[in-house]
Amino acid sequence: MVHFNRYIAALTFSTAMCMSAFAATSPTTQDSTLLPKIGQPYVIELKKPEYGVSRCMLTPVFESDSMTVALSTDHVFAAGDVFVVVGSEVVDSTAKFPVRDALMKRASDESIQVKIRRAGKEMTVTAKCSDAKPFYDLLLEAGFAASNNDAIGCSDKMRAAAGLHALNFFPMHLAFQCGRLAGRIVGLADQAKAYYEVYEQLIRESQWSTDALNRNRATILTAVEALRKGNAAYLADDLKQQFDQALSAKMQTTASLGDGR
Amino acid sequence: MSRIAASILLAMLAGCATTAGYEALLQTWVGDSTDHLVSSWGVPQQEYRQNGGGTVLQYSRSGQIVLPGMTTYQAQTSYTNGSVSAVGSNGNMVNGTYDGTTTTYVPHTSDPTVIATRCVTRFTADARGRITNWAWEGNSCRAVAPKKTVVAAATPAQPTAYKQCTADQLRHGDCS
Repeated sequence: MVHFNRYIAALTFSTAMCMSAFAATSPTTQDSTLLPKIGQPYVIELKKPEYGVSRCMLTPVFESDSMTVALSTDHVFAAGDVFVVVGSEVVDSTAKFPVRDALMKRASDESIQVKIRRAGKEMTVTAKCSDAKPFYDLLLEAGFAASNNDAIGCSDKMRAAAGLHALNFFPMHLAFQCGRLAGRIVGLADQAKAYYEVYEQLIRESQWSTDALNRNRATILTAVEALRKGNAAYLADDLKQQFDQALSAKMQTTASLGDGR
Repeated sequence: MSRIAASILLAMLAGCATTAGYEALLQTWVGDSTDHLVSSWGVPQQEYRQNGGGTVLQYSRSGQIVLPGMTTYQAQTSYTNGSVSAVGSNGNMVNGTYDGTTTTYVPHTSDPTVIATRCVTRFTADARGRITNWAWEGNSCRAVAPKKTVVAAATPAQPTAYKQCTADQLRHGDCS
Protein backbone atom coordinates (compact mmCIF):
# COMPACT_ATOMS: atom_id res chain seq x y z
CA MET A 1 0.00 0.00 0.00
CA VAL A 2 1.23 3.47 -0.71
CA HIS A 3 1.23 5.94 2.14
CA PHE A 4 3.15 8.89 0.93
CA ASN A 5 0.23 10.48 -0.91
CA ARG A 6 0.08 13.64 1.09
CA TYR A 7 3.76 14.41 0.99
CA ILE A 8 4.05 13.79 -2.73
CA ALA A 9 0.87 15.76 -3.24
CA ALA A 10 2.28 18.79 -1.58
CA LEU A 11 5.52 18.61 -3.47
CA THR A 12 4.28 17.81 -6.90
CA PHE A 13 0.92 19.39 -7.38
CA SER A 14 2.14 22.89 -7.96
CA THR A 15 4.59 21.83 -10.62
CA ALA A 16 3.84 18.43 -11.99
CA MET A 17 0.16 18.92 -12.58
CA CYS A 18 0.72 22.07 -14.59
CA MET A 19 3.78 20.82 -16.38
CA SER A 20 2.56 17.38 -17.20
CA ALA A 21 -0.92 18.09 -18.39
CA PHE A 22 -2.15 15.79 -21.09
CA ALA A 23 -2.35 18.82 -23.32
CA ALA A 24 1.32 19.50 -23.48
CA THR A 25 1.77 21.85 -26.40
CA SER A 26 5.51 22.06 -26.47
CA PRO A 27 6.85 18.60 -25.74
CA THR A 28 10.46 19.23 -26.55
CA THR A 29 10.84 22.08 -24.12
CA GLN A 30 8.43 20.95 -21.43
CA ASP A 31 9.33 17.29 -21.44
CA SER A 32 13.00 17.88 -20.84
CA THR A 33 12.19 19.31 -17.43
CA LEU A 34 9.01 17.40 -16.73
CA LEU A 35 10.36 14.10 -15.43
CA PRO A 36 12.98 15.60 -13.11
CA LYS A 37 10.31 17.78 -11.55
CA ILE A 38 8.04 14.82 -10.96
CA GLY A 39 10.78 12.41 -9.97
CA GLN A 40 12.68 14.52 -7.50
CA PRO A 41 9.96 14.54 -4.80
CA TYR A 42 9.85 10.74 -4.95
CA VAL A 43 13.55 10.54 -4.26
CA ILE A 44 13.34 12.95 -1.33
CA GLU A 45 10.46 11.13 0.27
CA LEU A 46 11.37 7.53 -0.43
CA LYS A 47 14.96 7.90 0.75
CA LYS A 48 13.58 8.17 4.27
CA PRO A 49 14.53 5.15 6.39
CA GLU A 50 10.96 4.04 7.07
CA TYR A 51 10.63 3.02 3.41
CA GLY A 52 13.81 0.98 3.53
CA VAL A 53 12.74 -1.61 6.07
CA SER A 54 11.08 -4.91 5.49
CA ARG A 55 7.61 -4.85 6.98
CA CYS A 56 4.07 -5.95 6.31
CA MET A 57 2.25 -4.51 3.33
CA LEU A 58 -1.35 -5.41 2.56
CA THR A 59 -2.91 -5.49 -0.89
CA PRO A 60 -5.33 -2.55 -0.97
CA VAL A 61 -4.67 0.88 -2.37
CA PHE A 62 -5.95 3.34 0.18
CA GLU A 63 -7.84 6.55 -0.28
CA SER A 64 -6.11 9.74 0.75
CA ASP A 65 -7.28 9.30 4.35
CA SER A 66 -4.88 6.31 4.40
CA MET A 67 -7.44 4.04 6.03
CA THR A 68 -10.27 3.57 3.53
CA VAL A 69 -9.81 1.05 0.74
CA ALA A 70 -9.91 2.72 -2.68
CA LEU A 71 -9.05 -0.32 -4.71
CA SER A 72 -8.68 -3.96 -3.79
CA THR A 73 -6.96 -6.57 -5.88
CA ASP A 74 -8.04 -9.54 -3.82
CA HIS A 75 -11.20 -10.98 -2.34
CA VAL A 76 -10.29 -10.11 1.24
CA PHE A 77 -10.91 -6.39 0.99
CA ALA A 78 -13.33 -4.34 -1.05
CA ALA A 79 -13.45 -0.72 -2.08
CA GLY A 80 -15.02 1.35 0.69
CA ASP A 81 -13.81 -0.85 3.55
CA VAL A 82 -12.54 1.24 6.46
CA PHE A 83 -9.74 -0.19 8.59
CA VAL A 84 -10.70 -0.14 12.26
CA VAL A 85 -8.23 -2.45 14.00
CA VAL A 86 -5.01 -3.96 12.63
CA GLY A 87 -3.95 -6.94 14.71
CA SER A 88 -4.65 -5.69 18.19
CA GLU A 89 -3.96 -2.05 17.42
CA VAL A 90 -6.87 0.33 16.98
CA VAL A 91 -6.37 2.47 13.91
CA ASP A 92 -5.87 6.07 14.97
CA SER A 93 -7.84 8.12 12.48
CA THR A 94 -6.07 11.28 13.63
CA ALA A 95 -2.64 9.93 12.70
CA LYS A 96 -1.01 10.91 9.43
CA PHE A 97 -0.55 7.31 8.26
CA PRO A 98 -2.80 5.30 10.58
CA VAL A 99 -2.65 1.92 8.86
CA ARG A 100 1.01 2.14 7.96
CA ASP A 101 1.91 2.92 11.54
CA ALA A 102 0.23 -0.29 12.63
CA LEU A 103 1.76 -2.34 9.83
CA MET A 104 5.26 -1.07 10.58
CA LYS A 105 5.25 -3.33 13.63
CA ARG A 106 4.36 -6.42 11.61
CA ALA A 107 6.71 -8.73 9.77
CA SER A 108 6.47 -9.14 6.02
CA ASP A 109 5.55 -12.83 6.21
CA GLU A 110 2.76 -12.59 8.76
CA SER A 111 -0.94 -13.13 8.36
CA ILE A 112 -2.86 -10.61 10.41
CA GLN A 113 -6.40 -10.07 11.51
CA VAL A 114 -7.93 -6.82 10.41
CA LYS A 115 -11.21 -5.48 11.66
CA ILE A 116 -12.90 -3.45 8.96
CA ARG A 117 -16.14 -1.52 8.65
CA ARG A 118 -17.99 -2.50 5.50
CA ALA A 119 -21.37 -0.99 4.64
CA GLY A 120 -21.79 0.12 8.23
CA LYS A 121 -21.02 -3.29 9.76
CA GLU A 122 -17.78 -4.33 11.38
CA MET A 123 -16.17 -7.63 10.49
CA THR A 124 -12.79 -9.25 10.90
CA VAL A 125 -10.81 -10.62 8.00
CA THR A 126 -7.47 -12.35 7.79
CA ALA A 127 -4.97 -10.81 5.41
CA LYS A 128 -1.59 -12.02 4.28
CA CYS A 129 1.30 -9.59 4.33
CA SER A 130 3.87 -9.06 1.64
CA ASP A 131 7.15 -7.18 1.95
CA ALA A 132 6.87 -3.43 1.49
CA LYS A 133 10.58 -2.87 0.91
CA PRO A 134 10.98 -4.23 -2.64
CA PHE A 135 8.00 -2.17 -3.72
CA TYR A 136 9.23 1.08 -2.25
CA ASP A 137 12.74 0.34 -3.50
CA LEU A 138 11.42 0.18 -7.04
CA LEU A 139 9.45 3.40 -6.60
CA LEU A 140 12.57 5.12 -5.30
CA GLU A 141 14.65 3.85 -8.19
CA ALA A 142 11.94 4.91 -10.63
CA GLY A 143 11.85 8.37 -9.09
CA PHE A 144 15.64 8.54 -9.29
CA ALA A 145 15.57 7.58 -12.96
CA ALA A 146 12.89 10.20 -13.60
CA SER A 147 14.88 12.84 -11.77
CA ASN A 148 17.68 12.09 -14.24
CA ASN A 149 15.27 12.33 -17.17
CA ASP A 150 15.57 8.60 -17.82
CA ALA A 151 12.07 7.80 -18.99
CA ILE A 152 12.90 4.26 -20.05
CA GLY A 153 14.60 3.39 -16.76
CA CYS A 154 11.72 4.95 -14.86
CA SER A 155 9.15 3.11 -16.91
CA ASP A 156 10.92 -0.23 -16.35
CA LYS A 157 10.96 0.30 -12.59
CA MET A 158 7.35 1.41 -12.47
CA ARG A 159 6.26 -1.67 -14.39
CA ALA A 160 8.13 -3.86 -11.95
CA ALA A 161 6.62 -1.99 -9.00
CA ALA A 162 3.13 -2.37 -10.43
CA GLY A 163 3.77 -6.10 -10.55
CA LEU A 164 4.28 -6.13 -6.79
CA HIS A 165 1.43 -3.89 -5.73
CA ALA A 166 -1.34 -1.86 -7.34
CA LEU A 167 -0.33 1.76 -7.79
CA ASN A 168 -2.15 4.72 -6.40
CA PHE A 169 -2.63 8.08 -8.08
CA PHE A 170 0.84 9.60 -7.78
CA PRO A 171 2.84 6.56 -8.85
CA MET A 172 0.30 6.03 -11.64
CA HIS A 173 0.91 9.59 -12.72
CA LEU A 174 4.66 9.05 -12.75
CA ALA A 175 4.23 5.75 -14.59
CA PHE A 176 2.05 7.46 -17.19
CA GLN A 177 4.52 10.24 -17.86
CA CYS A 178 7.51 7.89 -17.94
CA GLY A 179 5.66 5.46 -20.20
CA ARG A 180 4.60 8.25 -22.53
CA LEU A 181 8.05 9.76 -22.77
CA ALA A 182 9.67 6.36 -23.12
CA GLY A 183 7.51 5.82 -26.18
CA ARG A 184 5.64 2.96 -24.54
CA ILE A 185 2.24 4.60 -24.50
CA VAL A 186 1.80 5.64 -28.07
CA GLY A 187 -1.12 6.96 -30.05
CA LEU A 188 -3.71 9.46 -29.06
CA ALA A 189 -6.20 6.86 -28.01
CA ASP A 190 -3.82 4.94 -25.75
CA GLN A 191 -2.49 8.09 -24.16
CA ALA A 192 -5.98 9.39 -23.54
CA LYS A 193 -7.01 6.11 -21.95
CA ALA A 194 -3.96 5.91 -19.71
CA TYR A 195 -4.40 9.53 -18.71
CA TYR A 196 -8.06 8.90 -17.97
CA GLU A 197 -7.19 5.94 -15.73
CA VAL A 198 -4.83 8.08 -13.67
CA TYR A 199 -7.54 10.60 -12.88
CA GLU A 200 -10.16 7.94 -12.41
CA GLN A 201 -7.89 6.67 -9.65
CA LEU A 202 -7.70 10.14 -8.12
CA ILE A 203 -11.50 10.18 -7.86
CA ARG A 204 -11.44 6.76 -6.18
CA GLU A 205 -8.93 7.98 -3.66
CA SER A 206 -10.95 11.06 -2.81
CA GLN A 207 -14.30 9.42 -2.26
CA TRP A 208 -13.95 9.20 1.50
CA SER A 209 -15.08 12.80 2.01
CA THR A 210 -16.70 15.69 0.22
CA ASP A 211 -13.76 17.86 1.22
CA ALA A 212 -11.29 15.52 -0.44
CA LEU A 213 -13.38 15.47 -3.59
CA ASN A 214 -13.74 19.23 -3.60
CA ARG A 215 -10.01 19.69 -3.06
CA ASN A 216 -9.39 17.74 -6.24
CA ARG A 217 -12.22 19.31 -8.22
CA ALA A 218 -9.99 21.71 -10.17
CA THR A 219 -7.52 18.93 -10.97
CA ILE A 220 -10.25 16.62 -12.20
CA LEU A 221 -11.88 19.33 -14.29
CA THR A 222 -8.51 20.19 -15.82
CA ALA A 223 -8.14 16.54 -16.78
CA VAL A 224 -11.67 16.50 -18.18
CA GLU A 225 -10.87 19.52 -20.30
CA ALA A 226 -7.59 18.00 -21.48
CA LEU A 227 -9.39 14.84 -22.55
CA ARG A 228 -12.02 16.85 -24.36
CA LYS A 229 -9.38 18.80 -26.25
CA GLY A 230 -7.66 15.53 -27.02
CA ASN A 231 -10.64 14.24 -29.01
CA ALA A 232 -11.54 11.92 -26.17
CA ALA A 233 -14.89 13.45 -25.32
CA TYR A 234 -16.26 10.07 -24.36
CA LEU A 235 -13.62 9.64 -21.66
CA ALA A 236 -13.95 13.29 -20.63
CA ASP A 237 -17.68 12.92 -20.11
CA ASP A 238 -17.20 9.67 -18.23
CA LEU A 239 -14.61 11.17 -15.89
CA LYS A 240 -16.82 14.18 -15.20
CA GLN A 241 -19.76 11.90 -14.55
CA GLN A 242 -17.74 9.77 -12.14
CA PHE A 243 -16.70 12.85 -10.22
CA ASP A 244 -20.25 14.22 -10.05
CA GLN A 245 -21.61 10.86 -8.96
CA ALA A 246 -18.94 10.42 -6.29
CA LEU A 247 -19.63 13.88 -4.93
CA SER A 248 -23.37 13.40 -5.02
CA ALA A 249 -23.15 10.02 -3.30
CA LYS A 250 -20.86 11.38 -0.58
CA MET A 251 -23.08 14.38 0.04
CA GLN A 252 -26.11 12.14 0.42
CA THR A 253 -24.24 9.87 2.82
CA THR A 254 -22.96 12.82 4.78
CA ALA A 255 -26.43 14.29 5.05
CA SER A 256 -27.90 11.02 6.27
CA LEU A 257 -25.11 10.33 8.76
CA GLY A 258 -24.81 13.91 9.88
CA ASP A 259 -21.04 13.89 9.86
CA GLY A 260 -18.13 14.33 7.49
CA ARG A 261 -17.42 10.68 6.65
CA MET B 1 -29.32 34.18 -48.25
CA SER B 2 -28.05 35.13 -51.63
CA ARG B 3 -26.66 32.51 -53.94
CA ILE B 4 -23.22 34.02 -53.68
CA ALA B 5 -23.26 33.81 -49.91
CA ALA B 6 -24.50 30.23 -50.06
CA SER B 7 -21.75 29.34 -52.52
CA ILE B 8 -19.10 30.87 -50.27
CA LEU B 9 -20.47 28.98 -47.28
CA LEU B 10 -20.46 25.70 -49.17
CA ALA B 11 -16.93 26.33 -50.34
CA MET B 12 -15.83 27.01 -46.76
CA LEU B 13 -17.50 23.88 -45.48
CA ALA B 14 -15.99 21.80 -48.23
CA GLY B 15 -12.59 23.20 -47.32
CA CYS B 16 -12.88 21.99 -43.75
CA ALA B 17 -14.07 18.42 -44.22
CA THR B 18 -11.57 16.41 -46.23
CA THR B 19 -10.65 12.82 -46.84
CA ALA B 20 -7.31 13.53 -45.18
CA GLY B 21 -9.22 14.79 -42.17
CA TYR B 22 -11.27 11.60 -42.18
CA GLU B 23 -8.15 9.48 -42.27
CA ALA B 24 -6.67 11.47 -39.42
CA LEU B 25 -9.84 10.85 -37.46
CA LEU B 26 -9.71 7.11 -38.15
CA GLN B 27 -6.07 7.00 -37.13
CA THR B 28 -6.96 8.25 -33.64
CA TRP B 29 -8.75 4.94 -33.11
CA VAL B 30 -5.71 2.77 -33.73
CA GLY B 31 -4.71 1.21 -30.44
CA ASP B 32 -8.08 1.87 -28.87
CA SER B 33 -10.63 -0.81 -28.03
CA THR B 34 -13.57 -1.88 -30.13
CA ASP B 35 -15.75 -1.43 -27.04
CA HIS B 36 -14.80 2.20 -26.98
CA LEU B 37 -15.41 2.48 -30.72
CA VAL B 38 -18.88 0.99 -30.42
CA SER B 39 -19.65 3.32 -27.53
CA SER B 40 -18.72 6.24 -29.71
CA TRP B 41 -19.83 5.21 -33.22
CA GLY B 42 -22.65 2.88 -32.31
CA VAL B 43 -23.17 -0.74 -33.25
CA PRO B 44 -21.57 -1.51 -36.63
CA GLN B 45 -23.77 -2.51 -39.54
CA GLN B 46 -21.63 -5.57 -40.18
CA GLU B 47 -19.14 -7.55 -38.20
CA TYR B 48 -16.84 -10.24 -39.50
CA ARG B 49 -14.84 -12.59 -37.34
CA GLN B 50 -11.48 -13.54 -38.73
CA ASN B 51 -9.92 -16.96 -38.33
CA GLY B 52 -7.19 -15.64 -36.08
CA GLY B 53 -9.68 -14.23 -33.60
CA GLY B 54 -9.67 -10.69 -34.91
CA THR B 55 -12.72 -8.84 -36.10
CA VAL B 56 -13.62 -6.41 -38.83
CA LEU B 57 -16.28 -3.87 -37.94
CA GLN B 58 -17.95 -2.19 -40.87
CA TYR B 59 -19.82 1.07 -40.67
CA SER B 60 -21.76 2.27 -43.68
CA ARG B 61 -23.62 5.42 -44.32
CA SER B 62 -25.29 6.53 -47.49
CA GLY B 63 -27.47 9.35 -48.60
CA GLN B 64 -28.00 11.68 -51.44
CA ILE B 65 -27.42 15.25 -52.31
CA VAL B 66 -30.07 16.84 -54.50
CA LEU B 67 -28.88 19.73 -56.57
CA PRO B 68 -31.93 21.68 -57.72
CA GLY B 69 -32.39 22.17 -61.46
CA MET B 70 -31.15 25.35 -63.01
CA THR B 71 -33.71 27.90 -64.17
CA THR B 72 -33.06 29.73 -67.41
CA TYR B 73 -35.25 32.27 -69.11
CA GLN B 74 -35.91 31.97 -72.82
CA ALA B 75 -37.21 34.87 -74.86
CA GLN B 76 -40.39 34.26 -76.82
CA THR B 77 -41.20 36.91 -79.38
CA SER B 78 -44.56 37.11 -81.11
CA TYR B 79 -45.10 39.10 -84.20
CA THR B 80 -48.39 40.87 -84.84
CA ASN B 81 -49.60 42.64 -87.95
CA GLY B 82 -52.90 43.41 -89.67
CA SER B 83 -55.09 46.18 -90.99
CA VAL B 84 -57.70 48.38 -89.45
CA SER B 85 -60.52 50.48 -90.98
CA ALA B 86 -62.23 53.46 -89.49
CA VAL B 87 -64.62 56.22 -90.51
CA GLY B 88 -62.93 59.54 -90.49
CA SER B 89 -64.41 62.82 -89.36
CA ASN B 90 -65.29 63.69 -92.94
CA GLY B 91 -67.31 60.51 -93.34
CA ASN B 92 -64.82 58.71 -95.53
CA MET B 93 -63.36 55.32 -94.72
CA VAL B 94 -59.78 55.37 -93.58
CA ASN B 95 -57.68 52.18 -93.94
CA GLY B 96 -54.39 51.52 -92.26
CA THR B 97 -51.97 48.68 -91.39
CA TYR B 98 -49.94 47.88 -88.28
CA ASP B 99 -46.90 45.78 -87.69
CA GLY B 100 -45.12 45.01 -84.33
CA THR B 101 -43.48 42.47 -81.99
CA THR B 102 -44.06 41.36 -78.40
CA THR B 103 -41.31 39.64 -76.39
CA THR B 104 -41.91 37.69 -73.20
CA TYR B 105 -39.35 35.67 -71.13
CA VAL B 106 -40.44 32.16 -70.21
CA PRO B 107 -38.65 30.31 -67.37
CA HIS B 108 -37.36 26.80 -68.05
CA THR B 109 -36.07 24.68 -65.12
CA SER B 110 -33.97 21.63 -65.79
CA ASP B 111 -34.44 18.38 -63.85
CA PRO B 112 -32.72 18.23 -60.44
CA THR B 113 -29.41 16.36 -60.21
CA VAL B 114 -29.26 13.61 -57.58
CA ILE B 115 -25.84 12.55 -56.35
CA ALA B 116 -25.71 9.36 -54.28
CA THR B 117 -23.25 9.56 -51.37
CA ARG B 118 -21.67 6.59 -49.69
CA CYS B 119 -19.01 6.02 -47.08
CA VAL B 120 -18.00 2.57 -45.89
CA THR B 121 -15.46 2.38 -43.09
CA ARG B 122 -13.87 -0.82 -41.84
CA PHE B 123 -11.94 -1.15 -38.63
CA THR B 124 -9.79 -4.20 -38.09
CA ALA B 125 -9.19 -5.31 -34.52
CA ASP B 126 -6.98 -8.02 -33.10
CA ALA B 127 -8.11 -10.90 -30.92
CA ARG B 128 -7.93 -8.70 -27.81
CA GLY B 129 -10.28 -6.15 -29.34
CA ARG B 130 -7.54 -3.64 -30.07
CA ILE B 131 -8.05 -1.65 -33.27
CA THR B 132 -5.07 -2.18 -35.51
CA ASN B 133 -6.09 -0.87 -38.90
CA TRP B 134 -8.77 0.90 -40.88
CA ALA B 135 -9.92 1.38 -44.45
CA TRP B 136 -12.57 3.42 -46.16
CA GLU B 137 -14.25 3.67 -49.53
CA GLY B 138 -16.88 5.92 -50.98
CA ASN B 139 -17.34 9.49 -52.01
CA SER B 140 -18.43 11.05 -48.75
CA CYS B 141 -15.78 9.92 -46.30
CA ARG B 142 -14.78 13.35 -45.20
CA ALA B 143 -14.23 14.93 -41.81
CA VAL B 144 -12.59 17.84 -40.19
CA ALA B 145 -9.14 16.77 -39.08
CA PRO B 146 -8.94 16.30 -35.32
CA LYS B 147 -6.80 18.72 -33.41
CA LYS B 148 -3.28 17.43 -33.12
CA THR B 149 -1.92 19.72 -30.48
CA VAL B 150 -3.27 17.91 -27.49
CA VAL B 151 -1.02 14.94 -26.95
CA ALA B 152 2.62 15.38 -27.48
CA ALA B 153 4.15 12.83 -29.74
CA ALA B 154 5.98 10.21 -27.79
CA THR B 155 9.54 11.30 -28.12
CA PRO B 156 11.76 9.28 -25.84
CA ALA B 157 13.43 11.68 -23.51
CA GLN B 158 17.18 11.73 -23.63
CA PRO B 159 18.49 10.98 -20.17
CA THR B 160 21.51 12.76 -18.97
CA ALA B 161 24.36 10.41 -18.16
CA TYR B 162 23.99 9.40 -14.56
CA LYS B 163 25.16 6.73 -12.20
CA GLN B 164 22.43 4.18 -11.70
CA CYS B 165 22.05 3.35 -8.05
CA THR B 166 20.00 0.95 -6.03
CA ALA B 167 17.48 2.15 -3.51
CA ASP B 168 19.76 1.18 -0.64
CA GLN B 169 22.68 3.10 -2.14
CA LEU B 170 20.44 6.12 -2.49
CA ARG B 171 19.24 5.84 1.11
CA HIS B 172 22.75 5.42 2.46
CA GLY B 173 24.17 8.29 0.45
CA ASP B 174 26.42 5.96 -1.55
CA CYS B 175 25.41 7.35 -4.89
CA SER B 176 27.54 10.34 -5.56
